[in-house]
Amino acid sequence: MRFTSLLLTLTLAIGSLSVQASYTLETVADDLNYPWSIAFLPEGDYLVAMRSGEVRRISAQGVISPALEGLPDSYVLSQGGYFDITLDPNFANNQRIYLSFAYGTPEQNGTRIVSGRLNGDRVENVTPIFTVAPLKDTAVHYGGKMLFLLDGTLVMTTGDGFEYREAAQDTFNLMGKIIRINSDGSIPADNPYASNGLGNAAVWSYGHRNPQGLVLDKATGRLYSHEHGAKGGDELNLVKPDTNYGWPAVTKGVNYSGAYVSPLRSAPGIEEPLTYWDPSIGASGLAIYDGAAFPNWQGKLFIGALVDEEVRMLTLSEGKVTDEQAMFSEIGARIRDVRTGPDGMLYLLTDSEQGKVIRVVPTSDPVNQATLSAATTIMQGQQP
Amino acid sequence: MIKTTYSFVGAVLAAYTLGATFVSQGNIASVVALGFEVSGAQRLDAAVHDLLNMTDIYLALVTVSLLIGLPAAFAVVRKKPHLRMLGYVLAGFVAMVTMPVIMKLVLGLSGIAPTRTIVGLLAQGIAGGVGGYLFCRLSAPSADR
Repeated sequence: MRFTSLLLTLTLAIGSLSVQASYTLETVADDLNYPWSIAFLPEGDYLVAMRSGEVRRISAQGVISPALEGLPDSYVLSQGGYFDITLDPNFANNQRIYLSFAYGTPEQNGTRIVSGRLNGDRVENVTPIFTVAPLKDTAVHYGGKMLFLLDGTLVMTTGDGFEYREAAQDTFNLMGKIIRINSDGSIPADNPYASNGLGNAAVWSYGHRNPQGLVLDKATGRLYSHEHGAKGGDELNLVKPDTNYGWPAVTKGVNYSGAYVSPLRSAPGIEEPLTYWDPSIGASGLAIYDGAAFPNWQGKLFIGALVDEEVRMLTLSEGKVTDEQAMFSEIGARIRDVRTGPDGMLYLLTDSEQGKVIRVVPTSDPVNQATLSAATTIMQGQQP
Repeated sequence: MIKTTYSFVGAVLAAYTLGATFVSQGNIASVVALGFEVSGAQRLDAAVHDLLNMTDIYLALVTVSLLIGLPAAFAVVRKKPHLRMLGYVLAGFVAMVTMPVIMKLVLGLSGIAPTRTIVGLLAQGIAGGVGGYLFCRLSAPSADR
């Protein structure tokens, strides 16, 4: 495993508060060019998709492969590039992976999903299965987060393209939506507008701005997303089909000019966010911790913060956010993605030209202690 | 010089007030077009809010626009005094239309949302034109006022 050279121990003794198990931050891999998302392969390797337009395979030991071959070119500019990467629920048998990315040209671009078969450091039979329409001429607000629901369908967030924010309210337009498709790109028959003519058949929910976090609570089947507001107004939502989340007609944020996007902060028929952030934190990446390594974190939501350079840990109770705490600010980097790994550890991706994959492990875990003895990058902290 | 300065400040304030109001109502027009109701009180509240909260970026942009446009007009007006009114009004109009166009060309995005439409763009021009008109009136020699 490859670790770089830094040792930082944070000793926290806070009055009469009881001391709880502490965590350690391990750098699994670094020098990654704007890593955007991570997928965990069954044998312990990782696939990391980078906005720079490449996917690299990182071995369990931290060895970074050359860019995977066989994947399509991306429109890499501003916020455009490769976005999310995920494995087929039946990956063990079919080795299929799914990649969302910015496709097209400066004049005509949009978010596309391709699927292919992973074979070592190569992806074969790569096929586009879905492209957001209409294409646009801006290089921002692509959405691009995706995951498989328990029923095997694939959901993906799409952005409003910034210049086309009203499209988020148009159910026939795929911008500013969460869409739901089958793994081959076909449309599930039980989508809200699959057959009633009231919208595009792929639309699951609408009124989104630029959702950059998506997670499924496997215990309840609930789907959560968060999205970037304009100036203030980042919000966390419980995603339900055929539901309007308001953008741009109803929002807590304002334009960057300072003017209202809309004077409406709530309205009949508009789903209220579970919580929102004003000022914006630059929410990016979303995980529900369901590992065993940190019992105190079970069921909590972890949200990366690009602007605040930390992670927010949210406690949900009866559908409401009851607590929020800032974590991992000692990393001092924009956090692009947060995931729970199959090993029960929390994984963070930092957003820079020298981006990192960071693994959060409990220092009290003797197995990890053994691993850490070989590590050269260790940052220790204390969990709330 | 003092007269020119307060004339310019007056022009900027007029263009800002009118321009911000156009932005405010332009944004609301987009919301209404989506099928949402916005009451008169909400419109008024939005206008006041926007007027008070667009000072960071928009006021600076208006100031810079007129700081370029009005001196350019002055250079013409000095040689063609009979074009004084037209020159300043036109300069204000062009300056305020050019500002969002340049932003779009440079950033690829519209910093002032209503200027995505031709009506919203022309509304900014009108605000600039009013600013130019005010500058013309306030800076005019006493006998001409």
